[in-house]
Amino acid sequence: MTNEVPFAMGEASEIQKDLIMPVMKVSFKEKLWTRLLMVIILVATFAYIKQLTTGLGVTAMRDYSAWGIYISHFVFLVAVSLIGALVTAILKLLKIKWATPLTRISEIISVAAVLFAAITIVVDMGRPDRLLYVFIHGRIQSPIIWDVTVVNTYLIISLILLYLPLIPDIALLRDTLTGKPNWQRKLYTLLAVNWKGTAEQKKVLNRAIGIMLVLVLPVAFSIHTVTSWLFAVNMRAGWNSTIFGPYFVSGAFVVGAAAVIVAMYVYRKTQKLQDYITDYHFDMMGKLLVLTMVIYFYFNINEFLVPGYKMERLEGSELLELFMGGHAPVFWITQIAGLILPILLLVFKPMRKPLPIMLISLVVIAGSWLKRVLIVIPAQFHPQFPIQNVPKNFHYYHPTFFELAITMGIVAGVLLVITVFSRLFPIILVVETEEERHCKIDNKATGR
Amino acid sequence: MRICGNSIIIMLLLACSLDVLAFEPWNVPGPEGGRKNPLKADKNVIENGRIFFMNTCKACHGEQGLGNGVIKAADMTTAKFQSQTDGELFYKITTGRGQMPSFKAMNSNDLWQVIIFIRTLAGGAKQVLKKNAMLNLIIDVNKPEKQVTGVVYFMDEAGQKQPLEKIKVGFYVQRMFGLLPVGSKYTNDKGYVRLDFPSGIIGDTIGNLNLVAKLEDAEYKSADALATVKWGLPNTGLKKAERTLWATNKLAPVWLILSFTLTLLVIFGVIIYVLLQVRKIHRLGKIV
Repeated sequence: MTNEVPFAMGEASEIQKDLIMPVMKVSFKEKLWTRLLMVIILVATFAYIKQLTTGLGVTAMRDYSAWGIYISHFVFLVAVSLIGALVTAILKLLKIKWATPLTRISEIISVAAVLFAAITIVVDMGRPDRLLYVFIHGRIQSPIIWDVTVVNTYLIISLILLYLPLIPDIALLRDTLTGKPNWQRKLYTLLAVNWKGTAEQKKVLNRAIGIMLVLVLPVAFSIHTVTSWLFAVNMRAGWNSTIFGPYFVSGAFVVGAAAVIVAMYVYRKTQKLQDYITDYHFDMMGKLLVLTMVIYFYFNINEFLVPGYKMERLEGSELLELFMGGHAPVFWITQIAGLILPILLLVFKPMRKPLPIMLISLVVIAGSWLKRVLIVIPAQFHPQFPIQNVPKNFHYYHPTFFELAITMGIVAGVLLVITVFSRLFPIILVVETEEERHCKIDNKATGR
Repeated sequence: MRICGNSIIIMLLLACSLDVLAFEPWNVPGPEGGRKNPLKADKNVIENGRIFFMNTCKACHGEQGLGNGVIKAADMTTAKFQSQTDGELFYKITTGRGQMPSFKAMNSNDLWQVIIFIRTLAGGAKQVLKKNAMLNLIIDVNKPEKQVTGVVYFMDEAGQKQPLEKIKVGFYVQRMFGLLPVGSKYTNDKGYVRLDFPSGIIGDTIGNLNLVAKLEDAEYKSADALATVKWGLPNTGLKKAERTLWATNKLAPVWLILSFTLTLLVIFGVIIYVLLQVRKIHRLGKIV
């Protein structure tokens, strides 16, 4: 198959061929998938134009539920984006080797998610033409300004952290992919920054990566903690909680880990990476997912049991609505199917095989999305002053077609960014994988 | 979308049903309709009824009782409306129906007073001819006492000023969004009314207050008299604004500005350093 493709890879190793191959050839299925995403984005664009010209009245957001699924979706995306820090920084700093093939997958998920989290906020604005005013007139005392700052900072850091380990691979692409269009080769040349793989260059690069790995951790924790403060600094029942920071961060690791597992499965299938993303990786990620879910479960107990024991006036009415009222079905489905059952299932090894764990992860992701909706929306219907003398549609929030279409468009945008990235760059660190394998072989040879 | 459509239909239905309700006859039980008004119409009763009407009924029934307020309400000026007995009106006011709330909780004396006032609305306000009267203010600014005197009179046919007795004069101070009542009194037999002006009201930067006196009587057209007096406390501006979490951006707490800026400086300092390392890689590549 290799000789069908025009590229100068005569001396390329097997690993290089395996990992660069997907960048070489775009399959029909992938083209179809990209088209599908583009159609969804097109529909969302039309919905957004309608929203822009008519105003936010086309959404179901009214005086009481001033935050709808856009903000829930923003919180969800911020949560997903945290996984880059977990897999790349934490596992790498702990020198956990098995995570190496997963770092780039999680980094690109991070970048795409946080980029579209920022876009979601703009979508939620009634007057996006005044976006600049946020920066000019924003008050430094407002957690919203902290959030705007930290989201953008995290986007920059994630991009750098995605880029740095990519440099040797880009240099490889620059040297091997001669049959690609001119713009693409120029892009590779530009991004490869004269990488020759000398010892000195390696030293500089490793130091830069090391610094970024340390820097990304506090910023990653801040991004989701500050996002939780958008809610927790309110006196509102359901948001007025001191544990919202760790509650959100632990929840973020759950959904991020699940997202990486799904991405691993898809890449393994489409790019035939069975040798690089093995059952062992799924097994380990499964264990990691269980660990994050158990921590999240612990925070859930604190978040619901303690106020549930006190049943303070407003807090009580909000909790009753979640436990037994209109939101109860979604709440219990989210908690049981999205959290408790996956923990129980993933404890058993057969469930951590690629297909079952991918399906479980999908359920976990869906549950996490609904959980964000349950955090954001019901609390708004339990204000300090009773809701009186308002139009009927102020009493509930049912997202409209426009909101759903735009939200779907944002999801499609995230997936498109990830797809396009893996078309331009190898999704697994080629050079690093190669070096690690050589080390293993060397170790075996020397009997170490 | 579907929900939107439904709610529009529901609202239309509601609107229709309200109209239907409005046209149904409102029967008052016999004994209730036969109740007699314990009060006799006089100036004070009408004036109190007017104040009650303006506070409680005007919003829907309109200033002249034409039923043209914020929502559709009964026109009180029609012969049909006015043909109801006082007892029937009292029953309807205390019971309420549909959009018309029940005023059961109110003092019944107030309700009987407002019924008497409602009678003055008969035939529309155009036909209620009020007499002309004048109101002048006399203020001696040289006196240390803060005292304002009003004179109420009318011009007789010979062109002579004739004092008016027992006319209510209200005194107010002009504030940013309306009038602050400072007191009201009735004129004496010479047409005079005197008010000791309260102290401690904050005026403009030098303590000037805009005083407004109003002739408030059912029989005479209202008349205003204005005066600027230096009886207020000088407004020395708000207390010096402090740095707080709820202040404007310029008055943000120092600790917050410092920690925010320092954090950003450190983070972006590191980012810039790392980007310089990338440049270094680029340079190292050239040498080779």
